[in-house]
Amino acid sequence: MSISANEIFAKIIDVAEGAFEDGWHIVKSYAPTEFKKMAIQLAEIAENIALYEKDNTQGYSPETGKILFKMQRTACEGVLIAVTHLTLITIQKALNGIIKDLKETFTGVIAAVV
Amino acid sequence: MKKLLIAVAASLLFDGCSGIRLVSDYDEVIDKGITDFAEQFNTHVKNMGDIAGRPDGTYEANLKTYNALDSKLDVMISRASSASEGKGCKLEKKILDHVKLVLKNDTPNEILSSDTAQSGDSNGCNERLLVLVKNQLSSVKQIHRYTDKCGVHNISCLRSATAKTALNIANQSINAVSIVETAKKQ
Repeated sequence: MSISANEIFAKIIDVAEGAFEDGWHIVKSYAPTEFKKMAIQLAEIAENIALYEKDNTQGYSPETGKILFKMQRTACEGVLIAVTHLTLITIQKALNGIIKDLKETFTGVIAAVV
Repeated sequence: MKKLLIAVAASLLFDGCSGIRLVSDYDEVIDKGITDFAEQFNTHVKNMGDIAGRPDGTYEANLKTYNALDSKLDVMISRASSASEGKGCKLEKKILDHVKLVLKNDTPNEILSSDTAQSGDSNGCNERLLVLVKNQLSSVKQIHRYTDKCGVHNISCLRSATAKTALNIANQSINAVSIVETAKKQ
């Protein structure tokens, strides 16, 4: 039995597609959802400062708003690190899936060579 | 001889490449720890919003809760820190370029230093994600202690509007830790 490059390629594509599908789904749904939350929260900060300036028993002060804005920047950094991490996890799973499948499929052939 | 060399190369490829690690392993302690922290933190902030203006809602009356939350995070940070052996978190270059473009001079030093770091790894990123959660807790404490005031006597408090916004924002940082650990587990 010979090892065909096309056969290996087909196997890699098959495994990679399966692995990336799940992983990318997480990345694709996570990042936009978090960015949308950020937009909503930034608007909320502006609204609450405006409320406070009209009536200081409502909303919150500009000083509090400034700290909340800093918190939003911190949250943004966390989301970006998580996206990087999730991408790496997806790649790792795809690579390991490919190696495992190739090993299972072609180990017999390699044994025959020896 | 040639066949033997091919066989050795092939087996090295399959054996050597099995179990490629680009990220650190799933850590149950951090996964469980961040879930516990999230529950306690959410309950605390919601409570503070509800009792704002009352003596039991002041910063001083709740110092113990903040210390307990802080300690919980310190334990997790210390665990992630020993795993990373002091290496930083290396952000993917394209993302880093965009971050620097948007934040300009405000880009945190921790991220900038990772730009040139040769040794940044995913354990360092775990640690950084937890440090960011700790920063969020510090900001909530700062608001509670200094900037939010309630009632005619201007006592320290966490206003209900502040509690709502702060919780939503802090939960994004907490979720970043959770989603990464959950993805590793799957």
